[in-house]
Amino acid sequence: MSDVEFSYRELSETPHLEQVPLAHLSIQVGRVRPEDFADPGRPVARRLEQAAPWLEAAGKQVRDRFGHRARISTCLLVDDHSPSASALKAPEPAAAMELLARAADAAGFGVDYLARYAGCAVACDRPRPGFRDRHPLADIVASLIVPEAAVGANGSRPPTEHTGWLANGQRSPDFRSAMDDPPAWSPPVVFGRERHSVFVDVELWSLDQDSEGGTAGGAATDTHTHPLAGTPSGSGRQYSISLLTAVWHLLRLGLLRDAGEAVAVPYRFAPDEPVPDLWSQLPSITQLTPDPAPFCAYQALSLLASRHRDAELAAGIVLDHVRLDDRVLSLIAERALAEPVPFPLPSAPIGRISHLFLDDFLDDSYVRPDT
Amino acid sequence: MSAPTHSRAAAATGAGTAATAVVLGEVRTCLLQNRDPLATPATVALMRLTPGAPVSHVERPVRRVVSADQICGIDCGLRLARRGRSRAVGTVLSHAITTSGRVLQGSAQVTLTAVGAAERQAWRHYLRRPGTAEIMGWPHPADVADGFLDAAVPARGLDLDLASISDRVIEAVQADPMLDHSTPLRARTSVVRWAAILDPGHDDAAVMHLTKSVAPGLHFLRFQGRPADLAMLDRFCEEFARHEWLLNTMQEAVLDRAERDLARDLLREHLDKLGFALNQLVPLWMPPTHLSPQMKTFWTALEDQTRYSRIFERHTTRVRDLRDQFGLRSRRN
Amino acid sequence: MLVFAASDKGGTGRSVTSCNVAYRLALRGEAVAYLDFDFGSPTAGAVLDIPKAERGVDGSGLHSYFTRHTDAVELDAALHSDSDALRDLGRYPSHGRLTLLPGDRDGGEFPISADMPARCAQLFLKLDREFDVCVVDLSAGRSYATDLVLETTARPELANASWRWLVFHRWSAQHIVAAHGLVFGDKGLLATGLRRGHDRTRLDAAMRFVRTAVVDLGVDRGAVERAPQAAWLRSYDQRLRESADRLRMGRSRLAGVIPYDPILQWSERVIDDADVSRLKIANQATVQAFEDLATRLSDQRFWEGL
Repeated sequence: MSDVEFSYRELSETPHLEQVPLAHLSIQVGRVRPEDFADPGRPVARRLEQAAPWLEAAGKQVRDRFGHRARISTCLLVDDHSPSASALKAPEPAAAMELLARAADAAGFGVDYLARYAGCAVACDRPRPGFRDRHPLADIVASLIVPEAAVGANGSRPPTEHTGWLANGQRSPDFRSAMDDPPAWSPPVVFGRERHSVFVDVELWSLDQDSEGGTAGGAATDTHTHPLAGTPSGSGRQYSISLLTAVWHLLRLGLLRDAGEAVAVPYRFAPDEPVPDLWSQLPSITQLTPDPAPFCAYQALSLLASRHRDAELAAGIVLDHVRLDDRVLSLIAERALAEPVPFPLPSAPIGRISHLFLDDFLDDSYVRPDT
Repeated sequence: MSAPTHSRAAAATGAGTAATAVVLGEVRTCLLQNRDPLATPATVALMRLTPGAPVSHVERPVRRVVSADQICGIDCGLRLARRGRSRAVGTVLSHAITTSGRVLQGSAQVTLTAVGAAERQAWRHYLRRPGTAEIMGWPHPADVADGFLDAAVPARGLDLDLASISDRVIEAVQADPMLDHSTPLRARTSVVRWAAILDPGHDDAAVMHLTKSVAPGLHFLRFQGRPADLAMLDRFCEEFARHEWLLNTMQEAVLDRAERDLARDLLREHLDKLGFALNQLVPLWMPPTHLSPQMKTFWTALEDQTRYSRIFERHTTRVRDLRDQFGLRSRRN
Repeated sequence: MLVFAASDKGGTGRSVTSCNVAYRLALRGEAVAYLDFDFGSPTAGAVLDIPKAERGVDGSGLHSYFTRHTDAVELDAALHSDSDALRDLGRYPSHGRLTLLPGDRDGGEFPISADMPARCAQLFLKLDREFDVCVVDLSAGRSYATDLVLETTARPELANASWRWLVFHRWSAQHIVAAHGLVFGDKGLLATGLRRGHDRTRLDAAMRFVRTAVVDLGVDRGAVERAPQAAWLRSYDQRLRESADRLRMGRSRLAGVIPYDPILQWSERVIDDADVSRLKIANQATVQAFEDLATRLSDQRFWEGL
């Protein structure tokens, strides 16, 4: 009798992992509010005008390196997660999209994708999402965060994950814990630093019943009411812009999955398909131009007004504490090496993100004596 | 080999291949606190410990559903055998496993590599290789492994505490509102604490020492081999832990108890326990010899010394006898 | 099964009786856990004669479990006790085991924070997976510990758990009134339980009383020397019975009567059969009363029939 070679395996053993198409570079041309579209041409058009030369420079750099067929996509992020009093003035999405197309034309480039901040909290791939179409991205990213181990942490106590704050080091000792013997103040500790520390404490979320949320120092940004009725996880959290910005970057880098499934896949409205009247009923990402390069990319560049610097710094801290799926990371690294012009990808996601902070003075409505 | 095992094996065999690594682990096994065993979709939902995390499951030969890895940061002392202590900084991985929707295991492990660093690095450095902790200084690998397996030292001191980490996985699952929290059989949680010295230059046959502790339900397993053996070893420990728990539960919680009640003529209350054992525990006995030739070699060696399957068979027969005996008696009454 | 041992006043013999009942259950083959929830004075280790937990343990007891989220240490009496009786548990396969979960050394009462009921439920569930009976010895009076377990047992996780209450009181007019208040009073167990989300009928049906240090006039002839004394005692005993009946603490609610035994007045300890038959330092009736109470605990009909 001869030997046989036999193998048996079950597909459910190694969970399925969906791939996403990748561009070389994704350029975020700005971050605006829905009401910015109300003022014909002004804030949005100026923002695009301001971005245009940098966009061209970035495009040239990528094409020089990867050839003229390098894939570059552009996107604009709309902050509908932080409703303000003027939000009522915001035009309907269809009108905004039209205005955006005209402004982009005037600036000399196309905006390929329109993304929503609220769509980073809970992602949906289609307009007017039903319950099943929603992916709780903020919950998912929050659960990927690994807080720094305190000195002496041996696993016996659960990590302090439920506080809703994340620091890049060890905080100063808590005074309340030693009532009978008030200790002298000691500074927070940041590990792996050079000589001096930059200690940052980021608010990731506040709880619904917590009315005092949104104050405080460091790079914490204010938190905002969730625009969708009820978070699917029932966690009752109001996520901060810092956390949502981290979600946004991970999404653009093609690193997020929900149980292996791709999330927030761009949606293109058919020519005769009605666009919803409410911003909250738009998909997370709407494709605006006919054949753009993919939304996700190996590298991401954000052109932002300098007042968004705090949120971006805080998002960077979050990204430094996130543990991503090994399989997704290595899959993307392999694909970069298999490109016509192969290139190695930095292992940490933060190494794939660039920022360019532009001055705010072009934009009268936003003039603030910041720094 | 399951997905989590695979990724962790990669962590050990990846960048650190040049040096000898020590892997420490702990597996706890208990009964899932639910009246009936859970079906596949419910088990998969139960094993989704974090939102969006993938769950791995296999139906045959027994249904085994494994959660994605949980991660926990540490910066603590390591007890060294023979001399002193050392410090390790990094992360520990843990996951939950359910078998046939009935038995629950919590498994934690950490790969320790000596890098000689004198200071703690930025956190992102440690997140690059999840499940790995760096030892400060250059302790001898055998001292690290033996220090962890020292039976005289409580598992939950100030040093690395895998007991609490594996326990927490179990508690997280058992607290799920999906479970009805009724206990069909009261049985001890059993613990397997293991350490492996993985040396890329290890040329001889792999060496495994299994020790039953004086404390009830506690076993120590010490392994010496190559980094490539980790995936097999990891699974071996989980499989051994499950079979050891089955055997012990069958003996302590079912048989001893039934004999006791038989003597005092109280077996009536215990009849359902005998039925439970026969219907729900016996089918879980499924030695992992199908997984790989290497696994088969190790399991066969284990059986040669311990006769586990033989004992389990004998227990099963005895339980069946008791049930039949009692069945007759209760019909007479 | 969870058994909550409560009393309105200190010195009722709650701990010593509970320990002895736990021992009797273990002797019969049950796996028993004894939880020292007397947070103000964690001394169950002393009753069980476990030297390393005489006044609680360092940093790994139940206080730490709740306030610092550490694991609660479990001490097997057969391995850690100096008492011959407890060390003998496990000598025969017919024995079960008795495990102590002590409090912290020098631990004191602590207020209940929001996460404690969930943590307490987790502990009860975990022990329920391994032990047939968990005896929870509560601080006297309306304590934080009592409130904690009332809130915990009302949680949905414990909907399928079975639990019982034993309220200990001495056989005196004052103690009867106090114990009645603890159960039925405005701020008593039933009223508090109701506020914590308990079903009144179920909670009410789980309440039983244990009379302690009762002088048995038929047996303790030596204690009663004069005829008028005996007559007075007899009539007063009758009045106490009537008052107990009136206060819903009569026969149907009576889980046990522990006779007065000098040895327990002086030394709170576990009594075994050798103390009675060989050493003759304890009374057979006392051991029998512990044994009867242990039987009552697992007698389904007794707990159903109110």
